[in-house]
Amino acid sequence: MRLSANDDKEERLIDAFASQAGLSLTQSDRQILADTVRRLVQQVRSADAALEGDDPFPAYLT
Amino acid sequence: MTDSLPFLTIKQAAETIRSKKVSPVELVRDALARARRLQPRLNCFITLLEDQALDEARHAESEIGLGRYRGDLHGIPYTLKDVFATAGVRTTAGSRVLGDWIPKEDAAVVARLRVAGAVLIGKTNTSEFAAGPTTANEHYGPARNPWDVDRVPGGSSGGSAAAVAAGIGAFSLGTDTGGSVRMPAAACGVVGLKPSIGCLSRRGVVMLSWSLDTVGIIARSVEDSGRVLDSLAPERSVGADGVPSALRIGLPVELLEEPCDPEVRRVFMAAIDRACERGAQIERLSMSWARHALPANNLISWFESRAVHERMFMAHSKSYGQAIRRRLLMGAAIGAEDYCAALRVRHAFIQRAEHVFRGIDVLALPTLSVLPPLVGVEELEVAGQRVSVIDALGRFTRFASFTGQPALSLPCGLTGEGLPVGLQLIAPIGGDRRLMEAARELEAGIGWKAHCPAGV
Repeated sequence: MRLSANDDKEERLIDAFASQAGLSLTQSDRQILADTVRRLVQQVRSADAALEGDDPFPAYLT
Repeated sequence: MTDSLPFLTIKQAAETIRSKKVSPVELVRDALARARRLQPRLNCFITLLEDQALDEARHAESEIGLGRYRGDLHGIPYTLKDVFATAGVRTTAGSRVLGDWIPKEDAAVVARLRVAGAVLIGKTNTSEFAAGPTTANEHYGPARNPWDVDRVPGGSSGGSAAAVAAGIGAFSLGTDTGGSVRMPAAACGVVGLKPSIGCLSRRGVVMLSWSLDTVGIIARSVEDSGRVLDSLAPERSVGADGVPSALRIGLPVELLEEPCDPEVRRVFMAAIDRACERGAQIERLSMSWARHALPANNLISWFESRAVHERMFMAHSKSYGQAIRRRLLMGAAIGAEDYCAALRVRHAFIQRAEHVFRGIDVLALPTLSVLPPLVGVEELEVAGQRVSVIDALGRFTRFASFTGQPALSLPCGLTGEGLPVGLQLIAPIGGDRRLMEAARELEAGIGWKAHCPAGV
């Protein structure tokens, strides 16, 4: 399941980094890595939301 | 005497050297012979330093003969995870990329051990660039667990823990980014100490993640770990943060409800019960936020390791192994805004984690949630759930990596299969002395004595 509208962003970033390093990835490899990153990012965003209240800026600035 | 040499404590070995019952040359020769004999089964070394170690041992013997005794570590054999720079000795970091790198200078902690007169006998196997919890190294082969050679020794300092557990050298230095000292110590039935972040210098250590990497100590007892810590950071050996007469132990309720092997849980709880019988007080603490350490620590580590390796990876990507390559590619897909979110989580997390210690001395957890997996396995079933080996091994160690708090794993018993289980203690930042005192108390209650593992 795709997690965001920008859902191929991770695949593009992985592909770009791999190309710069002279590596070629299969579509399947790229997708597995991107899915792992998306899951991790989602967990961190949830943690960030759960621990909110430590935001150093007043609400009107955010 | 020779039969017991490999498992002498540092204090006992120092006494035999000082009283000239055993010479440093005999100790080092014995450790080297043991290393050579066990290497085909354990694969715990990348480089063994036979000639250099014997030269250093002869030098130590001559100095001691002339009355120039330097202290407890003088003439004591030890090993180093192969991520510490050693002048004139190749330092591979478990990689092919650095396979021929011979540093000109010692890492700062190695220089301190040299001044203390300790004798380096070998550089130990590690996951490539210290990334990975199993020491499954595709360039140098997997290190193996001395309690059961079909199982991993944990990682990434797996070669160090396997060597110490097998009686090769009195101690080893490793590095811990997400549990890489404590995990292998637990898997191999030895003590793994990760001091407070910043306590030990990282100068000259091949880096993985600059905000998380911590130099740690692997030894066969809490007392031995303390002696090495005193030698590396004498300024930390005094402090006013000791433990009161009745130890107060916190148990984080929600973390302990995470999937965990029932045998690990049973052995851990039996050790806590023994601590209670000796007067410890137990506080059950609700800390539901504690589970956030695992993903946020991973994200920071992946992002930073990509940044650390970027230049070298561009030039040598094809020499990188699969595991580290995947990690760096995933790090490249993490945006700055998500790295910042993880840092925010960390900031909030540290505040909560320090607050916890207002009513207790130490937190206690199993070190690993599972028994050491079989070599080559990537997924496990734990309490009816499929879990990656990486998450299963690191579930309980990420907490202290994330906060920078000092943490220690000590053996707390054997499972029915005869595999060691590690008990992890965590103290507040700067509370290294408190941690060591609490660990000594628990170790005394458990009654664990270092001995030769079944697999060797």
